[in-house]
Amino acid sequence: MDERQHNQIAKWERRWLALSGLMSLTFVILIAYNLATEGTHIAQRTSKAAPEQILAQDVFREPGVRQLAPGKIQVTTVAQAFVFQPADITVPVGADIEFYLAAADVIHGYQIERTNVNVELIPGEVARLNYTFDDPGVYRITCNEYCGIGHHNMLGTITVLPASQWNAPDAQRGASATDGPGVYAANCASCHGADGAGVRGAFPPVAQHAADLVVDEGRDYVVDLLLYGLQGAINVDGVAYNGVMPAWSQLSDEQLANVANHITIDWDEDGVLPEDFEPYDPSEFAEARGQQLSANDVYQRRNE
Amino acid sequence: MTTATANRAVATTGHPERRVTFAFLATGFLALLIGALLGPLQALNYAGIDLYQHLPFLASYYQGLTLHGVLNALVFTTYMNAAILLYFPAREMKVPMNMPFVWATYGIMTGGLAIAGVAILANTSNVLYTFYPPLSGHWGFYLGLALVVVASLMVAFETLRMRAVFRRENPGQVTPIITYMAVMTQLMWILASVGIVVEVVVFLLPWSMGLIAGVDPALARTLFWWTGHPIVYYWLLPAYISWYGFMPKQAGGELVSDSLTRLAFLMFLMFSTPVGFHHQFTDPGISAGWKMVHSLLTMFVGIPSLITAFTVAASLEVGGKRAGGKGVFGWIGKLPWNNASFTAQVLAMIAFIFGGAGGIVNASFNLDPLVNDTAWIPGHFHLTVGTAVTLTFMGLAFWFVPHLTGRRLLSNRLALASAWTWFVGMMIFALGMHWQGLLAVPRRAQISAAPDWAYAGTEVPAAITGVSGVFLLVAVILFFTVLIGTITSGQRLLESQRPAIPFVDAKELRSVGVLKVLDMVWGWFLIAALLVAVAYLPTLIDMFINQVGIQPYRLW
Repeated sequence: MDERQHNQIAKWERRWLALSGLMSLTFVILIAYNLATEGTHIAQRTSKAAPEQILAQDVFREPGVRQLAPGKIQVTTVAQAFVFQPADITVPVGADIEFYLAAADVIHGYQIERTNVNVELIPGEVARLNYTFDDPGVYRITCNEYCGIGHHNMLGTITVLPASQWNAPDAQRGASATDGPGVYAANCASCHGADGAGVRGAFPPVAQHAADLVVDEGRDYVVDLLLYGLQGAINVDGVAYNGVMPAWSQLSDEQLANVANHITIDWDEDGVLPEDFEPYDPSEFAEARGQQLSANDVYQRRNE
Repeated sequence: MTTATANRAVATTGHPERRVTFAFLATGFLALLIGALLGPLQALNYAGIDLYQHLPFLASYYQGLTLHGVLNALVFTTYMNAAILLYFPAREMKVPMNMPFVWATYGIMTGGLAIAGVAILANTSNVLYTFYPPLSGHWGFYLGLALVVVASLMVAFETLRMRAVFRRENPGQVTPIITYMAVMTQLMWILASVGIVVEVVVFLLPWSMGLIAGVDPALARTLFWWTGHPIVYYWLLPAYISWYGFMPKQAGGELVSDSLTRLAFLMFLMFSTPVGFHHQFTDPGISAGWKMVHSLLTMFVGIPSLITAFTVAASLEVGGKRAGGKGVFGWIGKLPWNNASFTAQVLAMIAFIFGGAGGIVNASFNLDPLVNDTAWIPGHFHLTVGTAVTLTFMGLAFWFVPHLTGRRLLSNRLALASAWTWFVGMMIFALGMHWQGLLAVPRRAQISAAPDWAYAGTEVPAAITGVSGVFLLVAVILFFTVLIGTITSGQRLLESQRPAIPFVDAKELRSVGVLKVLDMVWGWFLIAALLVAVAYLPTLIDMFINQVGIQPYRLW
């Protein structure tokens, strides 16, 4: 390479370097300006505590939609494997919506399509952000952080209505269905399957197995299992499972009793339940709430 | 061992480094083979087609995805780096490797791979290659990965040791160019690996063994990304070594600027690590101010790649013009396009232009929320890691494997076909995945099993992604036919017929003073460490003080 060619390349090299630097600097200025003027969708952590303490806070005890003032909405959502509580909500167009989001077990994601709402929900943290929908429509919510075998089923919707069509609820409760099949479909089907057959090796079956549990472990066991969850290695019909059943104590006593009856009585194909089996009553769940069990306590009971 | 037997060993095996280098290379490509065969299934999954249910040895999509990510992103790259960052400096400086130490390194790395591999295959550790707690794998998974990292640091130690020997034996000489690039890569990796070492050894390993009850997920993520972004440069820089160090020679040109090459690698040492928050823009627990600092530093780390684009392109242009190319673009046609090794690496560079542009979007704090954790992200890194790095290593292998094994390349034509199919397949994949990502289709999800309503309206990009899987399957079969065919049945070459290492000519040392300053590598290392401390410690100290421990979960 001769001197002339080298000098020519060196000249362009300096121009290229200057251009690269200028481009990067321009990008940084644009990013800073953009966020300073319209950055309220960026989630901030408002508190950090053990997940049980967070879920006991007022805003999360009954997650859903509240109207704080005309044009001012609060949305609270709890993410847990593999559902959003509540999954489907309705908000008015143009309202200033304040989101409070938390994860109950592992890390989940919360992304609303066609918006720049995208938050990492980390157990132990409460995330807050503000967003205003300008257009009515149905927006899909996805969990976009891998959270386990049912991750792809963790979905929700936000229906944005014209303000005139939207009625302020006291709170659009999580899993608003109260009938047994409805509660099952909203909360349980993403793991155990719509027909209760489960996923071999990943999620045990519920159909028939729930009735078997009543016979083998006692009717109270099913109450504790739903309220406090279960963690540890189990064996169902010769297949090993080693996962986690989340606690469902945020559902109402009525919802829990109805879903318990659905999975035990409706799905007792073999007819193992005794003739005189009494359907579950909400009061049984109300009483069992005082025990403060852990998922491991329930597991220990199963093995006794 | 007597001198006579030592001489005989050299006479029969040539350079003893070849065998250990080939061991690293072959094990790396074996990992790529297994990982890459699963890739097309992932692409088809994003088109709504589930073939996983037909694989009896995998329990779920997510187990396959864990295997794919760990083998391709972590294992393949680490083995290739060991081969490249040990062998070329050793040959360039003519300093022998410490053979027992390097074989021990290979043993530790492979032992770690075996332990982690068993844990994944046993369906105990479907935590993907980012293994965010509180999802918890088996302790064997973390132990195995830790051993792979330890071995990679032993490789770094050996590269630095060889340079120290060279300096002792050649006082006053500047580190030669290939070695300089390798040394800077290793220093960057030493600084970068601190995060993952602390995460795994202090937190995840004892936690998965039940020795500690809880781990703070936000802290663990932050430590992960301390390493997680620069690890991308740890994968990329060995490819850059081939681009700067060998390709100009392959094109008949020369490296147009020795000092600018060194400056680029110095900037990678400085700016690769203090940028991890750009993977955590959507984490609520990190302050917006510090995220903005990392966004700024990430823009800086784009500059050495822009320098690379200029310097490498200019070096190739010199070659094309020497071959008779005229005008602004005329030299391009004169490049050795019939050389599979060269063409594969040029295609890798072209893919990297698109990958780099997408990377600037990801690094922009305000744009990232639109694409974070969507299909856009794997679309992006299959251009950078999956094409720029992997296709470069494939192209490198087309001369390096004959050089190491003394076997002629099975077929240059098949090799060319594999490179082109890989490139076209990955470009199609990237188009489909970037597009799906903009429609908020999440990454790492078994889309084929999701309810039908969820992704209605995304059928066109989904189909594009699916088509790419077919191309890539063909590319994998072609490439491994060439590679395995070369190793097992390539025509034997005489010692004098083996392809020589195409060390670049870089004689234009304009200012020895500048080179001497650039050569003060440990001083630059200290400055880089200081920058990392400033960028990370305020956030990390706060996280260490305010930990909320979470129990392990196994949700598969």
